[in-house]
Amino acid sequence: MSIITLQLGQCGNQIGGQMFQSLMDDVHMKPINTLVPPNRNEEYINDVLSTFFYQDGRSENQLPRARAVMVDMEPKVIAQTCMDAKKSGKWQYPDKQQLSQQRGSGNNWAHGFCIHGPKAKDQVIEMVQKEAEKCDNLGGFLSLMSLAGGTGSGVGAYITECLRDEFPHAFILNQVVWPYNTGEVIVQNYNAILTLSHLYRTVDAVIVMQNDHLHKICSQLLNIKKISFKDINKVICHKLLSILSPGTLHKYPGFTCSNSIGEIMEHMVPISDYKLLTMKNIPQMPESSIQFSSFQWHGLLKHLRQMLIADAAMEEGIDWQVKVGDETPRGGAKHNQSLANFLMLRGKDVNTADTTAFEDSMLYAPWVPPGGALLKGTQPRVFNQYEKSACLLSNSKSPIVQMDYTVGKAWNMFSSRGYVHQYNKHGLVDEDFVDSFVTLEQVIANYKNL
Amino acid sequence: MAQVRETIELLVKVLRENGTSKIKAESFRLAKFNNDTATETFWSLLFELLYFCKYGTIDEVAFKAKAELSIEELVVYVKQEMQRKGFLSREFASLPNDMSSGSREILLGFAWLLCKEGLIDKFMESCSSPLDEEDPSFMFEFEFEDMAKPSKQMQTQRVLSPGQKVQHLRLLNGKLRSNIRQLQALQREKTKLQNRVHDSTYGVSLNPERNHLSVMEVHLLKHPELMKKILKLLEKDNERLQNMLSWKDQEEVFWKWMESVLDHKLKDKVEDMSPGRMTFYNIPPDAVVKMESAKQQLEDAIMKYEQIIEEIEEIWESKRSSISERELDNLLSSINTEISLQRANLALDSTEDILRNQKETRFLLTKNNSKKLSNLSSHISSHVTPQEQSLPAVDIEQELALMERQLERIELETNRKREKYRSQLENLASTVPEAICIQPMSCR
Repeated sequence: MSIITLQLGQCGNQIGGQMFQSLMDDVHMKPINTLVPPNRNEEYINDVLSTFFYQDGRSENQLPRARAVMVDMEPKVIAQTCMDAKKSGKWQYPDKQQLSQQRGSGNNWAHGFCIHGPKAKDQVIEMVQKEAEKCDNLGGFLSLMSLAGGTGSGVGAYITECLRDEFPHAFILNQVVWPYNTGEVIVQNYNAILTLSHLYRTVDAVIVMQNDHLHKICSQLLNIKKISFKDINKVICHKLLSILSPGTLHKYPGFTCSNSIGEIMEHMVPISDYKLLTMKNIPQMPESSIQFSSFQWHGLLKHLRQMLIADAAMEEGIDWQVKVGDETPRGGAKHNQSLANFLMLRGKDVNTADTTAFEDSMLYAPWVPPGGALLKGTQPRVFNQYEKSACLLSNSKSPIVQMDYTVGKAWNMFSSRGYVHQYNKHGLVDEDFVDSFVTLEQVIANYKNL
Repeated sequence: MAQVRETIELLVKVLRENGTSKIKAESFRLAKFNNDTATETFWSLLFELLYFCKYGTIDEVAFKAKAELSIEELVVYVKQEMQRKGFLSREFASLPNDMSSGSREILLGFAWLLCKEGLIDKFMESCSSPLDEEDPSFMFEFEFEDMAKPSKQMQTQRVLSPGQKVQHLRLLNGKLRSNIRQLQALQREKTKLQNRVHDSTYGVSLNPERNHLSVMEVHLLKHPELMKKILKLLEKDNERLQNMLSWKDQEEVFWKWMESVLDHKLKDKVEDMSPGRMTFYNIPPDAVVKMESAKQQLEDAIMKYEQIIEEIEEIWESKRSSISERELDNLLSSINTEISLQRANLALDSTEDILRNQKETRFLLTKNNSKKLSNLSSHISSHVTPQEQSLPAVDIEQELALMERQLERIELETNRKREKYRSQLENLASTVPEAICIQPMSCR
């Protein structure tokens, strides 16, 4: 099942480039290190190449081309990303599947949504159609964007709506990067809420990653002194690919299938009110230390479970006091209640890992049936040099705290109409803002009542 | 006699091969003599054949249905279906619902169905060649026994409040929708791949109607060891078709035998007329009322139109007798003079006159009722100022016809004049030395 990636805006394009590069690195890993027999390795490599890349069967010597469409309002980033791909020598972007204009969007969501979006629409849809025709089996779309800027968020939101019109039955998975709380763009909160409200209506699921958390991971776990966007992008890609790289899903007892986007979506987002997904993975450590560490599934899963319950972003600084079953005086759960979880295990001895702790019905909302609680996926092939790694994609309350905070700040700015004229200039009216606030407040309320 | 038996055996074989349940030739003979033991077999045979007519195949659903329906339900269903197809035999409809007797009637019904629906032809059509299959999945051996049973997994253990129940249902609904979307994607993929197979084998074909190989044929090319299986299937099909063809040859015998069954029935009918049996007819309850009202309406209409028709006939008769040959001739000549007069009138008109006549005219669109026209024109003239009152209103249809005629005339005139001037020009050109006359483009 092929996945077509839409890289929108500067952030989206950089993450996309890094993602395909990581995939290629994974594919070209030394077969000895994969810990699986060679035919399994072959199967895995073919899966990755057919899902994310397109190889023209006729010309044998051609490099695999990423199934990606790139959109940006400035030519710089796209050019840089394409060149990086070519330099690697192992893959490249397909010709003529990039759209770039000359002048950017100036971090203005309205500029992106109302002006650039409609102009770029036809061309982008055509490019996507071309990609879709090359797929035998279109599994879904993966959109990469950030929430703070103007292009990724504004143009991205518009393009996603057009994509939904064009492909009403396809699965659309959006990955958004939440800006730093002390971010440099003043109107980032406006951009964030406008984008999220529009996306919520059209896509199937939104994977939320927060720059603050990613930054902490880089500094505390990976021990990187000077953190650049490249490092953060690497972390993002590691998380994304832990879920999306080929693996086997144990859907029902005795029935397995491959982890296509459709299967993941079916499990994670059954109710359209709850679309926010977050990812936690373990372990994460600097490359130099990996070969000197060894892990046990038991320990990894215990930490991961506590990360879920206590809503910790990484395996350091977890609050071990939070326990399932504690209730607040008014009867609500103190821990992080989930709607659905998808646990993907990769590496040695995956079949010995015991995941029953994640199936505890107390972790989930009362109306979630046992079959809908935990979806387990396994892949014996080692991923990204970690002998054992686990990633948890969960539909739970964790993004709500951040969302609440952002909406609050945006509302404060809006009530004094700060910077709103910049948006009005390009065609956005106050009602659009109010609509967005209402949508997001509803989402927050829904999740709080889980 | 032996021939009849053979034919019936053949028929039984054909039926059996096409999916009906076991039936013996003996049952046919018993049914001829209205023996009660054969009744049940024939009811079930009829049921299966009716199912085949409706759905094109006799499959497990039919057998399951037969097992689950009670005897009465099955009998009523068969009666209903047969009536729907047009088999309105009273005796058939009054057969007892517990399958106790009446096998001859059912045999007659079966023969009627066989003939009317052309069952043998339908059987032949349903014999499709396995090589034409686009879906080779029936060649694979699947293990379906231990497949998942997800239904238990989706039930909640705890007792839920109504709001939570709604959420639970929404969750199940969402999962179903996602599954449907995934199925749609798989369907698209299947079509795409089939197309690819067809495209890549363009030009090669085993079947004269197609221009490419089917997916099944390609699959067999890749896995020649499956040929044996296909061969067996083809042989079975062949046998089936062979039997049906020989049935076609021997049909006559069967139908003659059926005639003898009818004879038996008529003979017995005189002897046995038991009144008071319940007849089943599939008539809707208000049909009688509807039929009564329809009859009444028809009678009224006939009364009304009858009178008018009589009057018209009288007039026709009177006219026919009164008018003589002479008067017909006079009529014809007067019409001819009228036409020639009109023609003369038109010829005298010149184009200048036409142009001059373009005054202010008021047009009216009315139906062919002269009275209305004059009324209207008087009405309009009363509202119009004195200067414009000079012209009466004109019927637009007439004006249009008039203008069309004038247009035709102008065209004729123009053509004639054009010819005249062209010949004049050419004559002139020939007299002037060293000159050529070249017509302008638009005239050619």
